Amino acid sequence: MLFNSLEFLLFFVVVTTLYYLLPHRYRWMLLLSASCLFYMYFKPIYILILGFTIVVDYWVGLELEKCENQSKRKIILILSLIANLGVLIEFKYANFIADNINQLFSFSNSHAQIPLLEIALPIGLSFHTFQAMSYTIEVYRKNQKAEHHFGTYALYVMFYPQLVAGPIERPQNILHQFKKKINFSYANFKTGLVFIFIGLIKKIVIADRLGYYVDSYYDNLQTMTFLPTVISITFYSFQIYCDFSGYSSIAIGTAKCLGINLMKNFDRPYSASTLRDFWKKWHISLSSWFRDYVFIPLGGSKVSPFLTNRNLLIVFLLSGIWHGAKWTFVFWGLIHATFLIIENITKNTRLKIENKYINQFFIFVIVSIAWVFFRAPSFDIAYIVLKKLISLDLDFRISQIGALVSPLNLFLSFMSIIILYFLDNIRFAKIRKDALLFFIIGTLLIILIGKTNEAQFIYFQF
Amino acid sequence: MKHNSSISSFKIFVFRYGIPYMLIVAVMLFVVNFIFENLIIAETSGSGANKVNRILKHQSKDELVILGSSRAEGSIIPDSLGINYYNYGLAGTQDNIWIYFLEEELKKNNTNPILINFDLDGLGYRNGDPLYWLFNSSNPKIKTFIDNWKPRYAIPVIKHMGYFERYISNFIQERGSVTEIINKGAILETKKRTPSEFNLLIQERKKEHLFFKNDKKLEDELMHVLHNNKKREIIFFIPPYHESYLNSIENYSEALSFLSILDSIPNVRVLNYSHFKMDNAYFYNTAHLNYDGAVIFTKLMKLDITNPAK
Repeated sequence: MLFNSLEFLLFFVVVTTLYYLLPHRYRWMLLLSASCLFYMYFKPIYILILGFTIVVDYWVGLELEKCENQSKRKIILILSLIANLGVLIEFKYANFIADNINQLFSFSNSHAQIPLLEIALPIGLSFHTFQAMSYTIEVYRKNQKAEHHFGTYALYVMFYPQLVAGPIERPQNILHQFKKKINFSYANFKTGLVFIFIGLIKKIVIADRLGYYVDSYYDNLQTMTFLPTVISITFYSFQIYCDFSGYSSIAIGTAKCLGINLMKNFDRPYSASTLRDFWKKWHISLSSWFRDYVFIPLGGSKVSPFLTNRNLLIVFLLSGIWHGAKWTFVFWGLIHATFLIIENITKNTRLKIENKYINQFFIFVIVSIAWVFFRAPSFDIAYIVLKKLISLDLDFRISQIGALVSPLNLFLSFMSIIILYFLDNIRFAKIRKDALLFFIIGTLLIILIGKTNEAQFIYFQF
Repeated sequence: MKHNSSISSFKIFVFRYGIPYMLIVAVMLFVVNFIFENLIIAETSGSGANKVNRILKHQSKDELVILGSSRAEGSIIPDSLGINYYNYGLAGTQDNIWIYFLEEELKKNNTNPILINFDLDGLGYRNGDPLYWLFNSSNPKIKTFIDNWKPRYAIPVIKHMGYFERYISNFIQERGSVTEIINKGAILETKKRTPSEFNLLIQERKKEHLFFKNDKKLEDELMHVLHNNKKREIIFFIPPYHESYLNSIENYSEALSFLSILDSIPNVRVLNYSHFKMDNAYFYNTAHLNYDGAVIFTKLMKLDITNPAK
């Protein structure tokens, strides 16, 4: 079920109303059933995969709590990681691995071929796998007690607002909230709705609008020139930000309406003046996951500069492959790692630019160019885009500048970026006061200038 | 006790925010809807939504209608034919749509002839852009023309969601386009292709294989309508095609046979200009005339349709 659909609106109203009508002891059942329904709306059979990892990790949690022997505990944790990563590899990376091995075979003139699997990627697999893994790791580290109530644990993995695209929560933040008796709070509910509206505007009014231009650019790539290339790269940067932060905002708002607080996932990332700063503001739940479970265990930055940079490289290559089973994603990670390493190495020697807007612009340019590898379906396409970027082939025909889409769309696209500026600078205290006006303006924006192709969120594919 | 206070707090929220929000939004959307349907769509003669609405609701004893696909829309200039002509051609549609339009037109109290563009790759089904139909989506027959029907298409105002800018775009284009001339429903392309651009189109066309589809169900429906029509003359016309297009139709002779069957029906006349020689400069592409081509073709048609019926 997509957040930007009428079905979800109905689902949200029914679930939220029932939630507050039901006594506390039955609420976990409602939320768990609603989460199952929400997930099964995409492809029912894949609930079995979730069920498998939930059962394994629930058992692992209990065993870890019982066991005091450190080496045994390690084995139990490894079992859990194998189960979780095994599912991830089987469904997400098996064909990628097989395809690469087949290519190696073909280079060596061998006729051997590993058959490819005909399976679709379960939606949000990387998200709930990472969330499940963070539970077992935290129980192993004794930062979190094992959850004894199976339903509550299942809800931790399956809680529908963040099930398919995060934020990737930690058990310490959320498990206890499911047990707390929550009464309807006027202020919470209003804030939740504000988050939902911000998310919907970001997705329907901004991301899908910009995506319309970007898709047209890529569909007609051969005929495109310099200006639409610049516009398309810029628009994609805002599209992916609004698409993903829009999803996170709806997730946070939906949970807040139920009295549950999820972690912040974005903090105006394009206002970052350094790449390091950018990664503190972009997809915070994933960045911190990699920091806590990969970067720091590898030694983090408390080792020699060489090893610190190696750790960064490992984290960003993993982050790239986490996003998708394609070399373009790995390359995207490599670009970020490279610039972060350069940033580290030149920290004390490079010329400092005092103007923060110039720094922000540079970071935006680097991030936007890296996004080309995220958006382009292959290296060949990314190469053509970058070639057009340096061609300086100027063509001022309106049809060219508009990427063959109507000039009105181009105008509304630029307007939508201005709307984004206002949304990102909203002062919640003020909005809560004028909530009714905000809801009305938001509704009108969505209905009148929203793109309503009910496009899937980009991050669902991960 | 706390549970009850939670419920009453929820009720207060509904009364303080939910109901005022719904009322204000409903009123504002009603106003927007009124403006769009009466001032934007109704004032955009080239928009499909306007044409569908007009064929259903406009009653005039004097109107002479031109029906068909984009080839009708872009080949005939109503004002050059006479003062009461109106072009109902809908780009992206096929024969099922103009047959429906014909049925609607024949219900009207009008005795003027009806002009229908006949496509040589007909008779087939294509409903075209949902934008054409949303305005009248409460009509059960119109509902069937909306591909990928969504429940929200049944809700006033909300049904136009995602299409408002298209209505505005059409409205602005009709008043300020430099590449199109719009005249009583006709949309005439003024853009000139360079010889090399046109040659590319010819090469593309040569790779295609088209067929006169002659869907039996549609044929039966059309014959039923034509044979039951006693009061109005129906003139089928085939505008000039580029030679490369004609050559791409594999069973052209079957199309000709069908046209002669049509021609034999009382009150029906067929004017076939498909082989009328025109220079490449008069075509927008291999299947459609441009504005200059439409000027010549409309003059030609005017002479022929004023000839007495057979």
